[in-house]
Amino acid sequence: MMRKLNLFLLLSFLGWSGCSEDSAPSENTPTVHHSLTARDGYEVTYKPNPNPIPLNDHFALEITVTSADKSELPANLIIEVDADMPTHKHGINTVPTIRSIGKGQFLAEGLLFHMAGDWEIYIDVIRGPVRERATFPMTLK
Amino acid sequence: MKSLLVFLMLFLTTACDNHLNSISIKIHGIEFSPTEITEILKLSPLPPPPPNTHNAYADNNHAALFGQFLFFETRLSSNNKVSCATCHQPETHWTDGLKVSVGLEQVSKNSPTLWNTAYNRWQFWDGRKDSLWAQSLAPLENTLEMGGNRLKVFRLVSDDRALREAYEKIFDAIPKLDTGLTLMDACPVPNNPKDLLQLAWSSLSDDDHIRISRLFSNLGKAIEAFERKIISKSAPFDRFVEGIRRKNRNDMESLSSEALRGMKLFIGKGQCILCHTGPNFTDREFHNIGLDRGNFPLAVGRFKGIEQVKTDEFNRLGNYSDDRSVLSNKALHYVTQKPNNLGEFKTPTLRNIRKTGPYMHDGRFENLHQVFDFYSKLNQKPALGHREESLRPLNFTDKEITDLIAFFDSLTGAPLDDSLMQKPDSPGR
Ligand code: HEC
Ligand code: HEC
Repeated sequence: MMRKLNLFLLLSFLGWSGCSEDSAPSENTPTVHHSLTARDGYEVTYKPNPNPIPLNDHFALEITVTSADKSELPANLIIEVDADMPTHKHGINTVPTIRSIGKGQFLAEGLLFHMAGDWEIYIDVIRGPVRERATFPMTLK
Repeated sequence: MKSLLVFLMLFLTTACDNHLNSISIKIHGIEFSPTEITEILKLSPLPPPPPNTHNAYADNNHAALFGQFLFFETRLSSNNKVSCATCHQPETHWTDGLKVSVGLEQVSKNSPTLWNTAYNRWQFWDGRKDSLWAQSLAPLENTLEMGGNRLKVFRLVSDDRALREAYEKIFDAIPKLDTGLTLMDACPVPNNPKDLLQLAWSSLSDDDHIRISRLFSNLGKAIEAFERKIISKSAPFDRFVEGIRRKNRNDMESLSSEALRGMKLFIGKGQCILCHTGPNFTDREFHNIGLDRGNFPLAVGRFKGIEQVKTDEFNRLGNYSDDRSVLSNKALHYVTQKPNNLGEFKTPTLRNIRKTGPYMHDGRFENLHQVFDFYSKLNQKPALGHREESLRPLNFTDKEITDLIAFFDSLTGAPLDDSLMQKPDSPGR
């Protein structure tokens, strides 16, 4: 299995500030995540809600898909979302529901990460028989 | 200052957990790093039980008293001898102290403690119920446990004056049934259309089905209101954590060095907090820790539980729930059966763990030494599925086991008020 390494931008926050709710998230960063799908067809970003992703509570992902070459995004794209803890060999116990909320914009609801540790979020962009996967590693504390 | 050294940044003076992140603390000569402190602070205090919208009576004190009466009421069983308290005895920390429980007959599971069940996301070892009220209806009709049935229960509550008065004061007036008074016993028996109780149930009108099941579910809601009071806090461990939070040396030093070392093992080398996490020491979810089949009946665990809770007539999205919105019931709405769920069981709370043996879903371990021996070696062949990879053999030394047990001792909470540990004189006030 040869899979091209994904472009993965990590915005990390150094240090922490006070304990007010609206201070910068000190853990479970980053806020907006970008990745190319495995065959470079699409650029995918997601923003969790709540942000950062909470431990053991439900959250949603606001997903944006654009064509990597900036061409018009094909219609009838289907999005699927899943997640795993690769080192523990198990994943989430839910199947998120996906809603289209605008051109190239989707809302995935019903994810829950019940354990702290290393997770991978998979966002699959499906067009007819072709499925392209964007993989987003993240560490949940 | 001999046994206690606190290094803290001077400008961090507010009682805010974030600010404690940068302190290293030495107690009885044992040093806790800022990361360890952060983990410890997550384990206490226990907040009030989560709000409950699917049971409109969850925090109603009349309902709680009524529920307490029902909890100890043997007339709900077919032989008038078994009550909830038979298997969840207040004196033995709401368990029965047996390997597996015995009601009318022996069952295949160990009776879990009822301490802090209000915090659970799922009930039963396999999570086949998603609320305490729905859970409590199961043993009432289970032929091995209490062997009652919802029509019998309906008759009991409508015919007994005290029960009827208490019920009607909290809920609605008990409706008249279409069926005559000759039929005394009926309930659905899924998968057995020929069962006499099922045949009797089929003979009732649809309206009667709803009237009977409504009253039945209301009894569950009263029992839940009572169970929400069975909360265990104020353990020596809580005092210790409060001490860290308030920088009170006496409280920080209130645990023995054994207990402190056990605590370090629990959050460190043992990685027990991966699953036994949060102030109730459970992630409220399910894991396959790789227990073998042994001589025990094969239990598929969570795999079947998901299917059952999704189709349960009393689940939180069903007709008898007081809040059926998806928003309030995300856990049930989104949960989906996956092959990984084979052989998974719910992470039990560890509060009062010293008092709630035997241990594991089938009570296979009589004492904590056996539990630690298991986590030490992990040499059992999982009965089903595969052991979660996060678990690694820990090879605990005897000394480490002594330390862990001392830490577990610090998780035994203050006793409940006597008035909650017995059958009240009457079901209502
Ligand atoms: C015959 C013994 C017996 C009786 C009677 C009994 N229980 Fe249980 N209870 C058990 C066993 C065994 C389990 C675990 C079964 C399983 O998970 O499959 C259990 C599980 C529970 C749980 C789930 C706790 C958790 O952490 O998942 C609750 C709550 C509970 N019982 C409350 C009650 C109530 C309320 C009654 C009376 C209406 C009752 N029980 C009657 C034996 C009994
Ligand atoms: C991967 C998650 C996980 C980790 C890590 C874990 N446990 Fe558990 N623990 C469980 C589950 C699940 C059960 C119930 C298993 C069953 O009954 O089949 C359990 C059961 C127990 C019990 C028995 C509780 C009872 O009431 O029967 C004890 C005690 C316990 N664990 C202690 C520990 C300790 C100590 C550690 C760290 C060395 C630890 N656990 C690590 C998930 C975990």
